[in-house]
Amino acid sequence: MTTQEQPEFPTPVRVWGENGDYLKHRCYVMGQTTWGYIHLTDDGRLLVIEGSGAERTMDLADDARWRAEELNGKPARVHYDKTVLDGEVVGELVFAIWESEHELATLDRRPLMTTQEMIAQHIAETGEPPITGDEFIKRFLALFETDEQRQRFVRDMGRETSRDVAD
Amino acid sequence: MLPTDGATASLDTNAFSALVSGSAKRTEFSRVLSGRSFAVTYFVRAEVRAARWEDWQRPRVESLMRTCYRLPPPDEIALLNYIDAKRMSVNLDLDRGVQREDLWMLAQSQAYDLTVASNDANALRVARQLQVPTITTLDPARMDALYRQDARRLRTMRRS
Repeated sequence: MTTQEQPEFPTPVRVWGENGDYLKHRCYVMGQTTWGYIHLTDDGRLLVIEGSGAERTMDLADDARWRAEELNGKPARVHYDKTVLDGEVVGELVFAIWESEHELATLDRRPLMTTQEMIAQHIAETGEPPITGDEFIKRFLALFETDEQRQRFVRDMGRETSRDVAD
Repeated sequence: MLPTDGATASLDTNAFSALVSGSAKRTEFSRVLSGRSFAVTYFVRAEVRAARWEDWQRPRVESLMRTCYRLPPPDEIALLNYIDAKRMSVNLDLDRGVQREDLWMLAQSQAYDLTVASNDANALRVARQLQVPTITTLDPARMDALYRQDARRLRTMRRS
């Protein structure tokens, strides 16, 4: 399939989440040997967002296509971004997108909420202004009484590597 | 007094780790975070909650999380930012050197125009290319060298 071919999702596909709840925009795909997320945009384009591994990317996209066909009741196709799939590094992502680079680049991505709006929302929800840095650090450090607790937390955060806290 | 725009940091999990990891790093991170308010993304909140807390700690953790801005689950903007972040990590040849959760954290922070507090060099490299503002206590000379290396790599890619 080439990048010039057109999408075949004239209407949004109805998808359901893991718990059976209706999700307009996102769907967890579980295939025989793969998993991943697909995303349906308002105008029915299909994005396969991430998958279970490079060796499974094609399988995942096929699972996504199968799922979309089942739910939408019509044939579906998945577009693979050749620059990713043919590259040396595929990683965990399948760029199965219907839209062009130009469309992605021109989407409105202004911040969803300003900091002041977030503060106002926080106060509305909690009745209090957000915590200050000094107070946060004091309370966070008070969570730990022993070195063992501290070390366990660092391990649990998965950041005990040279690229992170042990620089 | 309420913090002003730009004074809010989105905390990466390694910022939490840094705070408990040793006196020098704690002091440095406390200094750079002092006076800011904090946002916690959906992903970082999940990771912190998933740590093995003892019974007496857990309600205090939950209470502390509630004092930060808690960003909602990712929406379409965050998702598109994630695609950019993942693509950039591939372009920078970071492969699995940057974790999925790090990219989601960057993506959601970017969606809300937040400064990211992180000590993950690879996440910072992706953030730099996506023009996400960051604060870190990592060695600035080391990070500058990495940023220059990344810029060269991207220039070479664009030419080829």
